[in-house]
Amino acid sequence: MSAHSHEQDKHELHKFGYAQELLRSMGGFSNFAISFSIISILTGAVSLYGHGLTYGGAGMMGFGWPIVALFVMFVAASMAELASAIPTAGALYHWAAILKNKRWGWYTAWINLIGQIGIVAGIDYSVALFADPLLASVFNYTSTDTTILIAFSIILLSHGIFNHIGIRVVAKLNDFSAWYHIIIVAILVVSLALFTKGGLNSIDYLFQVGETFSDKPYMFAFLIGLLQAQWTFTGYDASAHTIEETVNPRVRAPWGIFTSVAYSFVIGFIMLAFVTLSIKDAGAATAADNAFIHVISEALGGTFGSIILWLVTAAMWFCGLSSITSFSRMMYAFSRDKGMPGSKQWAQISKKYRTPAKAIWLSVVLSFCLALIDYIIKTVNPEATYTTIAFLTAVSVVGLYVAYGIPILLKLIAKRQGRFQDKHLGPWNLGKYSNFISVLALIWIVFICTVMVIPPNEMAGYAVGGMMIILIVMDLTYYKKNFLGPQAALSTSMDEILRKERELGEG
Amino acid sequence: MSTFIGIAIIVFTCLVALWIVRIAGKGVREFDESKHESFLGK
Repeated sequence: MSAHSHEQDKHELHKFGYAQELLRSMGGFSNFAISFSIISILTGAVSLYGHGLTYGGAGMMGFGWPIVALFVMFVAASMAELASAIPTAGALYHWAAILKNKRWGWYTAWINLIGQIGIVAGIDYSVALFADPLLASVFNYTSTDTTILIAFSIILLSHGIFNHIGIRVVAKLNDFSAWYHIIIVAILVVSLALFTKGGLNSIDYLFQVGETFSDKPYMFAFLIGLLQAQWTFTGYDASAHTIEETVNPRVRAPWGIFTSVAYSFVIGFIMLAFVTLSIKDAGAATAADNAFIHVISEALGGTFGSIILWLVTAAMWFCGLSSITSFSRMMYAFSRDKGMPGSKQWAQISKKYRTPAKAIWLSVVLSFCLALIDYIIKTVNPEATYTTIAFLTAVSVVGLYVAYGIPILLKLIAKRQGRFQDKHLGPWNLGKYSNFISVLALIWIVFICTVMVIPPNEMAGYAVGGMMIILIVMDLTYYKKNFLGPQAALSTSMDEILRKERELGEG
Repeated sequence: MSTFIGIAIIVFTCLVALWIVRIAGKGVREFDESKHESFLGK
């Protein structure tokens, strides 16, 4: 990319009153790779495989996955359009703030933040759930909730360190992660196709509906099982959060958002289809501690199954790495506009690494706290029927999708009021179909957020509700009067912007 | 029957993805910077 383009990108950011503080070095593939890695078909679809199979049976993979993907593509396309129009790292929060007002932005940011805490905790907890039993078999100890929590802490720590030392390292790892996901899925699919003991089931098995391994009526159980696909398709806002680090962001970031979802749908479906077609006994799989491990081990044998599982666990680690990048950028952008307690700290950029180092470590601590709270609740109440992973993932789905929905709704309102017009759209836009696609996206968000908090996931609803009450108190007691919002940045002088850039060595 | 419906949903989802790619691609190709104005929310 030429120096001229880099200057154009900076000029576009300056219009919003922000300096180019982060290192802009990501290409189109890196931007796609970060969202593709966070969606991570080898994390969501695999760690919640047992959840999907228990509630929706084999038909959950044949029907649930594509239905969710279809509607998520509408959400992703609507968000991509906004990313192209307003290319700043605050993304959802910044869009909401300038499409309506700073308070809408403030709430969007916090709801997004709640979802981000849930997604980072959920992903790294998934890594721990897979890694700990594998390590236990190697080092001969018993995997318990406590050892899983310890493994979770070490994994989070490793992600904090890599993110701290730089976007170049993380971007390279993300690029590798995207290819790694594709290669591992290919190995898994080919292995299952060629070596499944006793051969694969017939294709009809994949679309078999009516069988649930839960105590719920099938249709209701099917809706609960959608969490598997819906949680997988989260986190693609990462392409927008890293937009200030992406070259030619108004085109590449929206493509990153949309194509990460589309490719994940196709590749994820192929993987789920082959795993499901290799099931020997679905009842035994759902009764096992980990349904995915059970299915793979039964199909491919213990040793080969173990190798595949180590490879899958590594893919999950990459997913967690990317999710911390996204979370920290969102928090950096929000703190830059002074929306959080201690904003000055979290908005600081490491001069050495050009990363929001303190925001990265805050992301690590908050995600650890969410899992720790759940651990304490379960220690106090061992009879709790929900699973930690379902709790963490449902929190992230609700938090993220409400945050995705708010700016989409505000865009429709701003268009209706004539404030947001065609001239404001970026290069990546949906033309005359924009409103239609946005409405479909909103209908899905309302539907899926309702489904995610019905029993047995009511704890997620209570958690999000509790956090909302805290937010309202914070807003009414302080931020309503004192939060200036991203609009305040518009008054930043060009001298001030250039001074900030000079301090960080941005020419 | 459910196999047929399932495959139809998958094909339909793929077609929707391609449709969105086509619309957005057209927008990128035909974008005119001189007619664009940044939405700053002022």
